[in-house]
Amino acid sequence: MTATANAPATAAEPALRVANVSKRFGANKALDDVSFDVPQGSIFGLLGPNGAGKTTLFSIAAGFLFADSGSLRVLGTDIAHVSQLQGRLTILPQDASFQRNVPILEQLAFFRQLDGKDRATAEAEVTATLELVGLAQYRKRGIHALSHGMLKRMGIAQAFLGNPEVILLDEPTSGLDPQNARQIRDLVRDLQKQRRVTTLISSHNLAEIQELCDHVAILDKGQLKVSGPVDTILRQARQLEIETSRPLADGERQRLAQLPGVRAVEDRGPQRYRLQLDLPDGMAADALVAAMLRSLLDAGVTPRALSQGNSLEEFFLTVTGTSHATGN
Amino acid sequence: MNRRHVLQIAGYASRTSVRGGIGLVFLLLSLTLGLTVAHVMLQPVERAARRAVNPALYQTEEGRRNAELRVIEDLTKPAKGVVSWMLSTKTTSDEPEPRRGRRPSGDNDDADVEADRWAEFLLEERPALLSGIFLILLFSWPLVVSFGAFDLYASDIASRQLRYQLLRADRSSIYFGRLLGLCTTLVVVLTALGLTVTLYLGLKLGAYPWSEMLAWTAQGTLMLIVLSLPYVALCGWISAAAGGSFTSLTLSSVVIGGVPLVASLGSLSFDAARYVNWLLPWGFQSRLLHHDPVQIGLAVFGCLLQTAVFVWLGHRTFLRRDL
Repeated sequence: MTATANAPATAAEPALRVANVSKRFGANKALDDVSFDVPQGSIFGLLGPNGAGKTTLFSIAAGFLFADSGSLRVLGTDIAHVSQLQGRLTILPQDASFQRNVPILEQLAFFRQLDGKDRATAEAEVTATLELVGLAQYRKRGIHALSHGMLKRMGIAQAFLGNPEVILLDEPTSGLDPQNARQIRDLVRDLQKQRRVTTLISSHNLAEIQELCDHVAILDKGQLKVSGPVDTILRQARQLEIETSRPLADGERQRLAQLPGVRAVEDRGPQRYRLQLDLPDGMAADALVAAMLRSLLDAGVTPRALSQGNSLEEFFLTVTGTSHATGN
Repeated sequence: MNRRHVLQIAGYASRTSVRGGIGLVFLLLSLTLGLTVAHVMLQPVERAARRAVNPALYQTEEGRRNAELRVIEDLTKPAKGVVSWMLSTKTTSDEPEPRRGRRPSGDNDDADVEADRWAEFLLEERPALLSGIFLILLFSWPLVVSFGAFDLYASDIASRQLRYQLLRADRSSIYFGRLLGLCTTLVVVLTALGLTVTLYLGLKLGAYPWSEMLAWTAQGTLMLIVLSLPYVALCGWISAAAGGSFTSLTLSSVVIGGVPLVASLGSLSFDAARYVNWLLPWGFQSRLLHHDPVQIGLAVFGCLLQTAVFVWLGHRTFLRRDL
């Protein structure tokens, strides 16, 4: 154990620091020199298409897999010493199963006993957590009594057990009905508000990530494409779609492209154009819209429709170069 | 490594293994093997004793006891030569027959004398039937052990069940906890096996006093426990490396059964091939029932040494592998 390996996390220190992490599986490079920080108290979304390396990254963060190179620190502790994070870091692993022959309560209580709780306290805590995810009535039954969605909730319950400071949730709402998915999202939000728990989530559901997360990172083919606060990313990725009364001449298009905050103008049809925006700090989107409309009207062009495209999904598709969301 | 975690994991593994099926199968398999061996050993004695004396006399406890003792004595005489040959360190191509009436002049002859003394100890100084049962168990038990130990880690690695524990206990605690849990189960199973066999023999046979049988059972059971350790450690290593229960069971069985097979077949062509047996306790495990305490001590040491080596290899594999 090194002195730095066990250093306590300070307020300024990120909850999770991924530094130049690479991992290969044979010839396949699952992660390629990935680096980003997860701020303390944030809800951080990890996005990427199939095979992007999200689960590999989660597995390295939890010490299930070892990185070929680079380092990963959680709460100031090198993940090589993951056992020192006992009780502070929990995970909902993807595709991990529970024991078939042991009642749910006994399995989860055993995890809390490993955390140092006596049996009675452990069972009380487990029952309370199972109530949170709506499984309390199944606590004395085996997992054969649970559906896929219920098993997912049980996995989430084990991740919420105790007082973790960092929770890693790998696809927490996949397989859940909208009501249960909403319940899980609310739980994550409540934990962050009440206890400032840092939560790292990977999800298929880009709208969910946009709704829930304040920070996001996008992985594609093992490489980090972008990472940062959702607002900043969307600000950089904001788009305007406009339909005009007639096709624009080259000069008119060029004038639009030269407006401050416009990165590029793309043709989307005979009279449809998409303006890629990159708003400078302090500039409101409305000011740009006003300037654009003025420019068009001065040129005798009537704007017929105007829409704003700034969803994470569109940004995700642009960054990963895919035509549609493939999920993971 | 955290001692509290090791004990907690050991207790949990021990408790849930029997419920899980594999532990139960292991327990039933062990008891079935022990009782079958006991039955096979006892049946000819019972039958011969019944025939040897007057039926009226056989009905009395004294008469039955004397008849059984006489039959056992008659049976052990020819058996002694075979047991002695089995226990001798000579090659498998040597015949047991020519050994009668030989003069101890060379190394092989010294070994024969030693083996004869050993057989005498097992068949005359100790309850012969129990010795026979323990000898058979000694050579069949390693294969049974693989059924109890092949899944120490394998299926939980494959199903990723271990991942729920990995953030709550370090890898070493999980490794040693599960190993300790299995060893605890093994002690319980072997004790149950020893007691069941002794009870069965004691109730069916009046030839041996209970105290003599219990004392020999205690020693035999202890030796079976010691013998199990290296095989459990070996299976643990294979289980940690294989990461899948079917592969683990296949590999464990092939390695444990393959070593004496290779040694036996190999020694037909190359005498030195019999030393392959020493890769596992096969080469010396019979000495756990030796009359000489020094030989017992060396055999125990050999088992513990191999246990340490396999545990080290398994632990190393478990620490380094992706889970």
